[in-house]
Amino acid sequence: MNARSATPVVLAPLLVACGLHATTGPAWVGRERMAWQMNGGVGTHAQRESGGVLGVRVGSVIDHGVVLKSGMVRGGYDAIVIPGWLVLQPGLDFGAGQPVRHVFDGVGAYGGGSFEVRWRYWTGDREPSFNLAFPAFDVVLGARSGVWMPPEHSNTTAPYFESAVDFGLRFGFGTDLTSPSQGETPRRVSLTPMPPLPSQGGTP
Amino acid sequence: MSRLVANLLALFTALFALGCGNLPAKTPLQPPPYTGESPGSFVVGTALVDITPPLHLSLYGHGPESRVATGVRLRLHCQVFVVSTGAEPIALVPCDLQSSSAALQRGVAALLADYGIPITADRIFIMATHTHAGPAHYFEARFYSGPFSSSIPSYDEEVKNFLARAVAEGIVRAFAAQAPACVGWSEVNVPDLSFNRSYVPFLANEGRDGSVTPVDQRLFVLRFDPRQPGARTCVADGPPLGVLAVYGMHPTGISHANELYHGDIFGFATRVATACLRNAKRDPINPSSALAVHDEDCDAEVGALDAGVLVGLANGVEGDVSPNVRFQSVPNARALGRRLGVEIAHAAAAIPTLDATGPFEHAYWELWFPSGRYDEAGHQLCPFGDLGVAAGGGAPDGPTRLRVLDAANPGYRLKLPAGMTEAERPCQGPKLGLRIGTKPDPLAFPQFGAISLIQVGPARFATAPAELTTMTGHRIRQVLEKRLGAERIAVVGLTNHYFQYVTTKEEYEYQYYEGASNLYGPHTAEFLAHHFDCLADWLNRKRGVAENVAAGATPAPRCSQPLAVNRLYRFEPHPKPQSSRMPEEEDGLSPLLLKAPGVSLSFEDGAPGWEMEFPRLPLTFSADHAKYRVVVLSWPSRAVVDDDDGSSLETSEASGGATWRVRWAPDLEARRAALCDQPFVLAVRGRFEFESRPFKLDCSFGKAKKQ
Repeated sequence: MNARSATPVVLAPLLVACGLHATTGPAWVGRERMAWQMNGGVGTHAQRESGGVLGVRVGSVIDHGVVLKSGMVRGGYDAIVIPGWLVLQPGLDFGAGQPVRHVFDGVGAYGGGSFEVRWRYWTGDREPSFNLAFPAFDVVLGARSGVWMPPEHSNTTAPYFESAVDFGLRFGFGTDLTSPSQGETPRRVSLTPMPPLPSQGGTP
Repeated sequence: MSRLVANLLALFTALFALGCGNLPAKTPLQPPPYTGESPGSFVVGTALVDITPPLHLSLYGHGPESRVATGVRLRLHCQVFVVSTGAEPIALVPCDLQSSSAALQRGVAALLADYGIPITADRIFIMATHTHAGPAHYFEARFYSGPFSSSIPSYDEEVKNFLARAVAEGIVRAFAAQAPACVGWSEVNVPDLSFNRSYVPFLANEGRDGSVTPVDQRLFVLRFDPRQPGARTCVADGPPLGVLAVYGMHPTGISHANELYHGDIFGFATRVATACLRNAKRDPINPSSALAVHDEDCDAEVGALDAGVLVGLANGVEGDVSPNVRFQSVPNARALGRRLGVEIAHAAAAIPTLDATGPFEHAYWELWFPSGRYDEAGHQLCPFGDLGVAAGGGAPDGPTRLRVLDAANPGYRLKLPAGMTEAERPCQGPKLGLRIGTKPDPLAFPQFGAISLIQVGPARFATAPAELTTMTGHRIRQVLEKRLGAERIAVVGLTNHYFQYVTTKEEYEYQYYEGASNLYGPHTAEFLAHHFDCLADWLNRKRGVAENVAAGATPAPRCSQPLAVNRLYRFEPHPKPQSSRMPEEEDGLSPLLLKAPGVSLSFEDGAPGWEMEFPRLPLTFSADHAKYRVVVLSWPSRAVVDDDDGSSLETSEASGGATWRVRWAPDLEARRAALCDQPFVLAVRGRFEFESRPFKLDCSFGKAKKQ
């Protein structure tokens, strides 16, 4: 196997059902006034059967420009409600950085929960097929809530609650190269006597 | 509303009229006149054309496992047989290609029209041998030029034009060479050359009884002999003019790791049959006997293939038929090819009588596959062609790396969705479509393909644009024998267009490689059989042999749909423009200055070969025999003892393309006495001429091995 032909084999498992998303929405921290946030990230998604997912997200605030605020790792579970159409994703977020408003100095830690609804607007996945590669386009609506913990030696040591609502788009990529099987290979133990045909109710 | 309907009808009629029409020939030529010929006498012309392309194109047949061509093992050929009885000639053209394409067939027809040759596309029959070591890039269907088609996915107009020019040139030459001839026809059984590689699905066929063997072992041979103008009989006392044979088998005797152009088992077989028949003679003591073929004659050096008897070999019912080789290798392919070639020669030589006159007709029908009706009740094929994921793993002869996935292995079936019964499955049944993108692409696979019935004297051919499994071929033949009241019909696959495999419905259910490669759903075999039945019925009515014609009644057509026989769909290839892979001609080449290269012995696939290396030559040279030719000369007499028209000389790149290597690997099993311990030189002729140092063919390794 040369390097050229090995490349897709190596890359394929890494690229199974992942996507790039961009969302925006209002966020609140403590008693501060609302800030308008914008998030971008990359993460996996469940494609054919419900399962765990993992992703990263970078958060920013629109305030006389885009100001990077935080980075988060997100672990969750994609519950496929309507295959190919609707996915619910509860998850946990852990991150570092700053809340959407400046309420403490330094780099704080974040922990929280989130909930996301994804409606797949466009996909090649709504009929039985083994897709070697296909794009998908989701509309995303999400909400999260969590706690910021200021660093030591900050101006305050009190935790701050932060909540946000997001909506946006997700551009996904999928492949069935390592996805859960949609079919089966029935095993035959003997050729004689002949089993009934599949069309007659038998299995080959 | 009625006005709207009328307008729609008018629009539909106009579109139909635009879509179907005969291609006009410009300034048609006429076959050469022969005085004293009886009406209906056969005239036949033959020609051999070399279609070996330049190097560095992708090979085609093993999907993404196909390699890029870096050399030539057997030059690729088309054998052209132009046959007529004075008008409406047809061209039967077996070619060393994996398959044909509409782009190629129409390209040839367009060139013939420009040349003024009155052979339109409906009378051109390009019959691919199905070698998996021919070039890619001439398929207009997107999947056949897409990411999983070959190692260099692309459609290349220049490759298509190269092949079309070569085939058209052959037809022109054969057309001009037409001369009075006789024809003979033979069918023999040739067992043990092949086996059914998808036996489990084959066993599942309904109606299978002892009369249906797992492989179709029939070898059909159409023989043409020269005839004196005006003569009513042939004095067949010498080698025939040409032989067109049909045998069903995947000619995949050499593995997908190969990087050289070659015709595989069929390429070896035609060379051996040619050698056999060139030396065939009647018994001088018993002149009424058939030609005698002696096996030892079959091992003689072939010499110039374009002189003397021409042997073409088309592929028959071969969808699930693999060659019976212990493992894939050049020696094994050569050995099986030799056996097949000898059988062809024996069958051709044994034809007792040849006729100067006889029935001559053809019916060609282009079928539209998407949603095509496969019975009179109006049931339809699937609207889109789709390749099953189980096809992605390749056949046992050429597995791909996708077999690491369970889904890409034979027998992988789509799970039945909850609440659905088998009868309610979608059109493609248990096939799980192998896709790239978001939805089925209607242009991914061909949409129309032609079937035809051809009769040349006693010979009958039924051609199909696909690889037919054994049972599919059997059912088609059953339909035709019943409708035409004739036997000994040669079913030829892979003709003019390529729809991959056609399996029976029972075989399709199992989703082995062939079933997963059956594009338009489980009823494709019924579709073909139904349309063959319609076409045979059309021929019957055209001849007026139906019983009720004698009674003064108009025979009722077998099929309710209109038959656009001998008419053509309007065709425009729709590939995206691609930069061509065809290398440019190199002008102003400096002389090749080199000392006579030495020759060394090496073993490949266990077979010995003597090879020399020299500086690389332009890639286009492999396509031009006038510029590059390899011969083996005896030393010191310099008589030609072998050349690259035969099956023993290979040219390939070496040292990463920096040099070329010529390798001579004669069949020492057959020619040991003539070659061993004799001195030879390898020589290149053409644009540059040079010779190796003399070397002696030391076969002592063989003796040591035997001890």
